Order: sequence, then structure tokens, then C-alpha cells
Amino acid sequence: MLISFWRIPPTATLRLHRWPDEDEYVVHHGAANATHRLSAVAGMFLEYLASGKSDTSGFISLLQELGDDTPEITMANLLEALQRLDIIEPIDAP
Amino acid sequence: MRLNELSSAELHRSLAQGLGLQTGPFRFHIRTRIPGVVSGLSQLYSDFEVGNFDFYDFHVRIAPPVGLRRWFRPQVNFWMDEFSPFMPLPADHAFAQLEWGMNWCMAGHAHHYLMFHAAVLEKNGQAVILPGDPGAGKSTLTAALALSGWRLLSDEITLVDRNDGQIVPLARPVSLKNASIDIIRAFAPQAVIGEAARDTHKGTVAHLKPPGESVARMSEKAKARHIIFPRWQAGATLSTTPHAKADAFIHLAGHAFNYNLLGALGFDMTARLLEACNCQSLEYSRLEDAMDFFSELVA
Amino acid sequence: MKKSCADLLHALTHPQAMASFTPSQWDVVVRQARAAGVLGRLGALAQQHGLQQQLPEPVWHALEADLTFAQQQAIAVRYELRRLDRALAKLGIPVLILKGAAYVAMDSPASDGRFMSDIDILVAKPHLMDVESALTGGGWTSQYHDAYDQRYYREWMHELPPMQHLGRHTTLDVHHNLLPETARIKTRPDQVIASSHLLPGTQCLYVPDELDLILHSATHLLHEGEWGHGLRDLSDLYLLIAPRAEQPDFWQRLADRASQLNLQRPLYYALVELRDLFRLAVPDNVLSTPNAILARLMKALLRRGIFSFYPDCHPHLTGIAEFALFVRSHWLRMPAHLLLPHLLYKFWKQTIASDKEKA
Repeated sequence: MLISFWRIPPTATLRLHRWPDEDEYVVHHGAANATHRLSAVAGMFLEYLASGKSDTSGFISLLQELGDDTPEITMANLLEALQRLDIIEPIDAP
Repeated sequence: MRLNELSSAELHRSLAQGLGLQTGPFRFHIRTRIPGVVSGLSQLYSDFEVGNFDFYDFHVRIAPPVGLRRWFRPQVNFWMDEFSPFMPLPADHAFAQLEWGMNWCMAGHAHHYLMFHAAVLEKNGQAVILPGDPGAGKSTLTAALALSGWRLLSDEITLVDRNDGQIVPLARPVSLKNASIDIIRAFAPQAVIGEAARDTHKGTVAHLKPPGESVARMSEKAKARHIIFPRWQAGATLSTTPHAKADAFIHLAGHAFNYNLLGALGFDMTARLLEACNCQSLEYSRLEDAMDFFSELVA
Repeated sequence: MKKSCADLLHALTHPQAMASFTPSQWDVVVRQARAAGVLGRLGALAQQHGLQQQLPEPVWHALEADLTFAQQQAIAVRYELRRLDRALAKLGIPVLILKGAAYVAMDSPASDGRFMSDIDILVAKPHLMDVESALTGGGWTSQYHDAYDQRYYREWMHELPPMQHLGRHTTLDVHHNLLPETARIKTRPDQVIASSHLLPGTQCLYVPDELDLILHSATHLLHEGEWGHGLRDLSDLYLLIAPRAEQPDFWQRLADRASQLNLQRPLYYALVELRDLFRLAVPDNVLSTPNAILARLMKALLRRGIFSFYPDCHPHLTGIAEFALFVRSHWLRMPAHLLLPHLLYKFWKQTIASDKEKA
């Protein structure tokens, strides 16, 4: 699959929260004033981006390590869903 | 001064001009000549502080609308200042309309607080929040707990202070619907329940007088420690399971009056609340079993 | 029992005075401010002047509540503008943001604590259809499906029927003029667009020159017929003008621009109200009277209209005065032969609708 690069828009002012022993996250998109419940992988991807990484290939590897047999499909679904919520945006290769 | 220190004539006169009533942090200026409202206040708010205050948070009125419906199948209207948020209702629903109206005032304006649609009571310094969809039996549970030594903070609107995250009491009468009314009468025959309003949009509605101690302690905030999602299920044995906090978050936010209005602050306050609280789901059928469960919860 | 609005008016122009209001004074001011839609504005002013601790706690809570609401609305507007820019950038035309949304976009003092329900934009008339297509493509849809209302808005007024975004519940009003085609006063939207400047960080969003913002606010006050917001609009205008009033050539430039845009009359009436109610120092030569008798009548009607938000503030005749102003507002916008059928139709629709609810 094509490698792509993403980031959390700087204007989004995201707040992300997860409780210990739980998989799901809750996220608040400050600019849009929207609150969403996110699956574990979606939240993990946001943490991945927030840590400074931007490439999908690195995250696909992570998904593979976690036992995902179809990491590219998961990645594609994630990108589509999060982009629709305006939580992530594509960027040029760094 | 307490409301029950006013004679009946004094109460009528004061309410006709406008009487100040304190509920939690709010002072309402209430003006009405409708007999059902006067008697409802007299019976259910007897322990509340009343008087002439300098500043009121809300000025409300219950009065007949202008026109024919004053006399023929009389109706009443609720006003906050010059605004009337509801359709007129039959005059025998007047007290219920005051209660709904007071809720509307707070839910629509009191944004110093994050307000959830949930009941909240306290015992042993631990506040328990009871969110719940209609039909979950929340109001029956709330009334029963209030009649079993729990301090009633609120039956409908849980107020969280934005400065310290604590729960702020209102200690107002508990709204009971349909079957709950008889269940609570059976549970506690000595309980004071006001006159029922029949055929409201919620069915038959009546209000339970809050315990005197709850009213006396209405200025004492409480720390939330438990969020319990109750579900009444006919014939069920009592069972409880942990409730995921992410799910609880979305439920609370979705059932809040002003979560969206508070934006990022609403998110932070809800997250902090869930950090501090144990979250469980509860299924039950016998009220006594539920009482035991809650007692053990805060023991 | 009539209560004066003097305290409220004073607080809007001299915020520090709020620190010395008694709880009894506040009991009146809070209710008046809430009804007039300026309670959030008082909250913003109190916060800017660091007065929170000096106000009685329940008073500050009431101000803070409306301020919080207004601040959240401003966040929503900024986000909406960003989405608008994205949807319309490809058309390559200037999209002028007006009124409340412009105040927010420019971080103007007139945006502080201000409630707003709609976003108003203006585009040149030839581009209206392209704009509507681009908006529809971006998820906005027309609120009014009734053929009569569609025609009212498109042909007679100066806007597309209000559009709502499906996902976000924001309302967008797309204008092609500051006043309708059919209005008696002809103004120059092309000049307003020409003098506007690009909003930084956007591709196609423009904000008016500060003089035009002031003139449009004055025009809106007189022509729009939204009497519930008269005092709020006046407060906005005060906050737009007061910081500039000391600048040496400001008043002359304002008068000249009003001439250019043919908006001298609305400016005159707005300035008179600001001078009389808000004690703004307006140079006499700027206030050249259009017609003495008409001016006196107009002043009286306008004054009653501005105070229509709160019964204790207005004299007996306000019901009629409000209607007269509403009619005049529409009169200025539509020729007589078109006006009456419209008002009757609206009245009929409302009556029929309410009867249906009762049935």
C-alpha cells in the first residue's frame, strides 16, 4: 500500500483520555467542539501522531506486532474515519 | 426564616407579591396566586429558607394566560421574567409546572456548573450519582434512598462546580411518576407525597417532600465517589458489574444539559469526575436489595 | 412599575462602575441584560477589567454563564469560517464576512461576550449561484423549502434563504447586498468589497474596512427589524467606534464614507442614539439632520424599539411603536405594493401553523 503521512491539525486542540484497564479512548476536538469515543487502535494512532511520528508504515508495523492480520485494511479504515472527523490531516513526506 | 413559619394567609399574601426561596446556591423569586402551587409549596417546601432577598438568580411566575382559558378549563403558564418556555398546562398541573420550570431555569442558565441529567445522594461523605434513562427506575431508587437515611442532593439535575469538581446540592422534592408513587407509599407509609397531577405528558406525577436534614444541609457540597447505572428488571436478582468509564463518559456527556456549551471545560470536568469515581451497572427488582447494595457501597 | 435602564447603559460604557453596584441594582441589571442579550457582554467587560472578585458571587456566576456560552459560540464560528474557506476557495472570488462573524474573525471588541446565531457573508451578485452550488456540495442546505419564502429571500431581500449545515447546525446567510434590491436607499456593496482585506490564514475570506463595519452595523440597527437585539447592536457599535473616536480625522472619514455608500441616514440615527444613551461624544457637524420633523419621529420610534427587550423599560406605546418600526424596516426594504401581501402571508402562515398544533 502507498505510504502516507499524517498529522493532527495544530488548530484542533485535541484532548485525549483513556482509563487504566480499558481499551477505548474519549477525545475532544477543541476547534469543532466535538466529543468522540474511539477504539483502542484509533486512540493509539493519535498517540503515535502526537509523539511526533507521521508515517503510516510505522503504525502498520505496530498493528502487525499486536496481532492484526490485516493491518493495511485497519489502517485505511482508521485514516478514513479520523479524517472525516477532521481529527487528522494528510501532510507531505517530511 | 423557614416557609413553615408563615401562616397560611401570610404565605398567600407573600406569594402574590413574590416570595424569595433558597434552593442550594440559587434564590428564586416566586410569584403566584394559583392555589395548587401555594399548597404544594406549603406542603413540600416547608423546611426551606424563604424571605426577601436583595438579589435573585431567577424571577418566576405561575399565572393564568391572558384570555378565555382563565375560566374555561383553566390553564396556567410558567414565566421566567417575560419568557414562557412551555405551553400552558391545565391548572391542576400547576405545581408540577413550577418544578419543571425551576429545572428549566437552572438547566438553561446555570453554566457555572456542569449539569448532568442524573440523581445524586450522599452518605458517609461519598456522593453516588445515578444517571439513567427513563424507565430505569431512577426516581423510585432516589426516593427510597432519601427515605433510608441518605442525604438527597438532587433527583434530576446533578450540579458539578467548575471550581472544585464537587457536587452542589439542591435538596428539592423528588419527582415520582406513575407506578413509583404507589411503590414509595408502600415502601415508606409515613412519607409526605404531594397531590398527584394526572394526565401530564409524563403520566401521573407527584412529588416527595425532601427529608428535613437534606434541606438543612443544602449548602454542603459533596465529593462524588460512585457512578451507578441502575436498571430495574422485574423478577431479577440483584447483580452488579463494572461499567466501562469510556462508555460512562459518553453516556454522561450525552445526557448532560450543558456539556457542549462548556466545550473543553466540560470534557475536562467529566474526565476528572470519572477519575474520581467507581463505575458500576446495577440490575435489581427488590427495592430492599438495592438499599442493601448502596449501604455496602459506602460502608 | 417602570425601571430605568440607566445602570445597564452605564455598565456597558463604564464597566468599572459594576464594582459598586449593590445586589438590588444587580437584581434589575442582570434581568435587563439577559433579556437584551448583553449579559455575556457584561461578563466580558467584567473579566477584562478584573472585576470578578468584586462582584457578588451569584452575580458573577450569571455573567460568567452567558460569557461562557458566547465564547463557545465564537469557537464554533471560527471553525465554521475555516470550513467555509475550504468550500469556497476554489471559486476564486472574495467572500466578505459581515457583522458578528467579522467581529469574531477580527478579534474585535465588538465580539466580546456577544451571542450570535448566524454567519453572514456577502458575495457579488453574479456569483450567487456558484456560491450556492459550492455550499450545497460542502454540506449546507437551504432551510426554506416553501416557494414563497424562497422567492421572498431571493428576489426581494438581499440574501439567499438561510442555509444550514447538515452536520453542524450553523446557519449561513448569503447576501449580495447590504440592503435589498427593492430598498429605497441604494447603497454600494461593490465599494465595500473593494475596500475589504483578506483575513490572514484564509484563501478567500475577506473582512470589511473598519469604517464599513461601523456603517453596516448602523444600517443593520435601523433596517433589519430585529428589535430584540437593538441594544446589543448599539453596544457593538459603541465598541467599534469608541476606540477610534479620539483619532483626529476619524469622524470626517466616517462621514465621507457614509456619503460614498449613501448610508448617511442610518449613521445619523445610530450616532444620535449613541450620543444620547451611551454618552458618546459625537461632533455636532457630523450630525446634520435630514429632516427635522421626520427626525424627531424617527428618534422616538427608534428609542422605543431599542428598549423593547424589557417591559419595565419601555413606555406604553411600544407595541405599536415596535410594529411601526418593523413596518418601516420592511418599507425601506420593499415597495408598498409588495409589502402588504408578504406580511399578510407571513401572518396567515403563523396562524394556520399554530391552529394545526392545537388541533
